[in-house]
This record gives sequence, structure tokens and C-alpha cells, in this order.
Amino acid sequence: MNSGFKGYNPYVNMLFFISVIVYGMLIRHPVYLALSLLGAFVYYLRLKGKAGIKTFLCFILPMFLFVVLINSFSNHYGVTALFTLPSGNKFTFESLMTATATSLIVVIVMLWFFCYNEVVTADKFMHVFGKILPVGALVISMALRFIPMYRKQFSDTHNAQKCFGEPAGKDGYINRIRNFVRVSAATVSHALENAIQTADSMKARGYGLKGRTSYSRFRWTSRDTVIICLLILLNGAVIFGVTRDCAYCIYNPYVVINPSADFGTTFFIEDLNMTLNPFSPTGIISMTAYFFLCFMPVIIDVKEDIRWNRSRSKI
Amino acid sequence: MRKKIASVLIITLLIPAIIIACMFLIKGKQYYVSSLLIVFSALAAFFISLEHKKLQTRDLVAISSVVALAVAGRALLFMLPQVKLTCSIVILAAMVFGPDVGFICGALSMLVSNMFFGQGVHTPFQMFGMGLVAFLCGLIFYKNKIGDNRFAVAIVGGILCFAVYGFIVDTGSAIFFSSSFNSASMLAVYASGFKFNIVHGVTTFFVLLFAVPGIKNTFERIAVKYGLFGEGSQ
Repeated sequence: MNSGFKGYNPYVNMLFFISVIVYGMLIRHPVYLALSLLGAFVYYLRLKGKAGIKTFLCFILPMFLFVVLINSFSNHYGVTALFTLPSGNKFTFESLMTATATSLIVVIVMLWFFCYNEVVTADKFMHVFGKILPVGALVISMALRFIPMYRKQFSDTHNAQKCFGEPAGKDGYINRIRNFVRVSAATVSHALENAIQTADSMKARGYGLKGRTSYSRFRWTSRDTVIICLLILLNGAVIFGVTRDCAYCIYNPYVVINPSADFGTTFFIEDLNMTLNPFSPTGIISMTAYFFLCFMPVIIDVKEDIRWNRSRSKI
Repeated sequence: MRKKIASVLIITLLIPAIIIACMFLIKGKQYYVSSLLIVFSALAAFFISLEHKKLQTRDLVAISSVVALAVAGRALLFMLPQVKLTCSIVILAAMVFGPDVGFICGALSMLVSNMFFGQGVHTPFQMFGMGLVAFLCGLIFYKNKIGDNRFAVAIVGGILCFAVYGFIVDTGSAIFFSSSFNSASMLAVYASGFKFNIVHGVTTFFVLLFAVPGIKNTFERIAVKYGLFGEGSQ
């Protein structure tokens, strides 16, 4: 199924995932974190359906809590003590905030990587890296083909040994391990001999000669151009905002979100020593761009769904 | 000689440059980003050298066949986590084919096996760790008589697998998980990874113990018979 965002050119997919993962790793501003988390979560659920909710509850949520706990209990900086730990150290609001932000980063990057694994399949990866590192890409693609072949070879050899009357399970573990080693050695030797044959065949067909081109399943279409222009534009807006301090926030020694400005109102929460400065216009533009960047695959998918449903009802 | 000077310059200038740039430019995640960039540059150096080295077609296919064996060794025992044959197969290849080929095999086999098991932030660290273990084993045992002693190989391989691979991968996740560079939260991550590293090291120890005379000889026979990596010319 290659519909929606999955059906775009591998370069588009790669550029999207590299940008969201890099921003996810670097930006600690709460609004950016929330946008990226929502975008990743919605797209992940769209890709995986019900299984996504199960992974989220059984794996990602415990991971989030674990990272929050180890970080908030092991750091004691900050000025706002919430309560005192049995060890005599203070549990501070600032370390709780830092721990939550760090943990959100971990969850966001993980979710984007889960989406990456669904979207960028091995052939797309090879398409992108085949241009940059042709030799490495060749080695990887041959290895991908060899893996099922060797597993079949291993079980074939094992079955043949059984037919010869291998004392299966008779003399306990030592004998079984000895058999395993023998079958493995046969598989290894067959694998390498077979590799040499493949290499000779490749050489005979002219591998490594000049002027040979490579086959690719992916074509560059006009909609890829549109989306990549949009991606570059959104990336530019986000980077412009981040370099203008729009993602400014500090968690230590007290929490300050957004740089101080001479317009708007500044909120100060006294109990938590927390300062909330107003959002600047550049910041709002950058955050809007970030929203569209993170939700781009979801928007594309939903748009295609709507179009499909409409055209279907006409028939 | 000029190449050597260039590589020494890159190591002495590039890595401190990465660290200093990250310290000033990035707030909050500077440790993670700088370690990631250093790992990336080490991997890039090896892969670029692979592109420029004039390898025969046979050598390339032999590398990919070792990678496939290593990944199949992980996939074969997927139901037992951390019991993987990858490390031992890569170590055997490094012992016979040389340390730099071993590094490439180790790094690529982690990349390819993560194509099946899922890529993540751990991928570059796993690639670098596995490559480094193979590289060190290759340095110690390549063209060395001790390489025929099964106990020596098994002990060195097991310890390197436990200490070097485990340390690199756990450090990667510890820096990623902790909000500041602080010993308590780092230790918590190391402690949670300790059990897996022990299992991984012990597995490698036993597999090498059983594999060293038999499967290593198979690799050697093929290398000599077909002249892989300049083996036949001597």
C-alpha cells in the first residue's frame, strides 16, 4: 500500500524525517514539544491503527514515566523545592520540568522513528543512499537478498543431517551444540563459495565498468516538487524562528519561557518561580510553520482519503 | 603518508571542533548531539574509505555475505533477546579478513539488522560499537598465532563484546535519556543495561569457544582459495 505520504519520492520522505527528528532532538520549548508530539502520535496511530494504541500504552508510556522518574529524582538544581526526599535532597519543580521535557524529547524521537520504520522501507533507504555511497548500498542490498537464502540453506542442511541419522537429542546438549556448529560451518562455507560465484557472474556481466546506470523504481513527479518546496519553506521558517530566540526557554535555576519582551503581558507564577513571557510575532509564525511541518503527512493522507471517498461515491 | 597526516589532522581538529561548537550552539542536548556527530564522523570516515579502496568484486560480495550471515545469526534466535550470533560472526570475519574489513562488516550488520528490527536513535551507536569490537579483535588476532587458541579468542571476544559494545551502546542511551550530565541518572541506565550486556558477552564467549577451530578455518580456507582481500598474493 503506497498511498498518501508513503507514496511520495524517497527523498521527500527522508528530508521530512530528518528535519522532524533533528528538531525533535534539539528544541526544548514546550509549545514546539507539544506540536511535535501530537503530530508524531496522530501519524503513528494513522499508520498502525489499533496496534499503535497498544504500543503506546505498553511501551512508550512506561518509558516516559521511567525517564521522568530517574531524571527528576537524581537532579536537585533549581530554587523551587516541592518537597524533601528521604535522602535530605530537595525535589524541585525545575528538575521535574527538565525531566518532563527530556522525556518528551525521548518519546517524540521514538515515535518519529516508529513512523520512519513504517514509511521508509529498505528499498527507499537504498534509493537515497545508493547515490551517495554506491558501494555501501550495493553491499547492503546484496546482504538483504542473502539473508533469506542463507536461512533456507541452514534449514536444508539441518534436515539433510537429520536424514543421515544425526542423533537428535540423544546425547544431550554437547552433541546438539556440536551438530549446530557443524551445520553452521557447512552453511558458512556454502555461503562464501556462493558469494564468489555471484561475484564472478557480476564481473562477467560488466560490474564496475564505466557508463553503467542503475535501475530505480521511484520516479520524481510534479507533486514531489511541490511538497519538497513546501518542506524547504517550512524548514526555513522554523529555523528562522529558532535562530531569533523564539524557542528560548530555560529550566535552570528557574523556569522562563520565551525571551523577555517590551510588549504584551508577562505572567509570573510566584509559587513555582515561573515566568511566562509573551509570544513574539516571529515566534507565532515559526510555531505555525512547525505545526504544518509536523502534521504534513497527516494532512496529505487525510486529503487523499477525502478525495478517494468523493470520487468513489460518484461512481 | 599525506593521507595519514590528513587523518591525524581531522581527528585532532574535527572532534574538538564538534565538541566546542555543540557546547556553544546547542542548549540542553549538547552531550548527545556532540557524541552523535562524533560517531557519525567516525562511521563516515570508514565508509568513505570503503568507497575509495579499490576492492575487487569478490571482496565486496564476501563482505555482504558476512553481513548476511551475521544478521541471519541475529534473526535465527530472535526469541531469545540479546542471545545473538552477530558479534561472534563479525569477530571471526575480522580475525581472518583484517580489522578494517571487520569494522565495515560489524557496522553494516547492525544497520541491516535494524532494518528488520527497527531503526532508532541507538542505530549509530550500535553500528559504531559493533564495528569497534570487530576492529579491536582484528587488531589483536589478524595474522597472529594466538588466533588459533580457542580460549584466548573466546575470552577476549567475550570481554570486548561485554565491555566495549555494551559501554558504547549504554552510554548512547544514557546520554539520550538523562536531562543533565549527572552520575546518578547515568548509573540507572547502565544498571538497567547490565543484565543484557552480561548475556550478550557470555553468548559471544561460548559461541567463539565452539566456533574457533571449525568455522574460522572455513573462513580462512575460502580467503586463501579465492584470494580475498589480497590473501592469495602472499
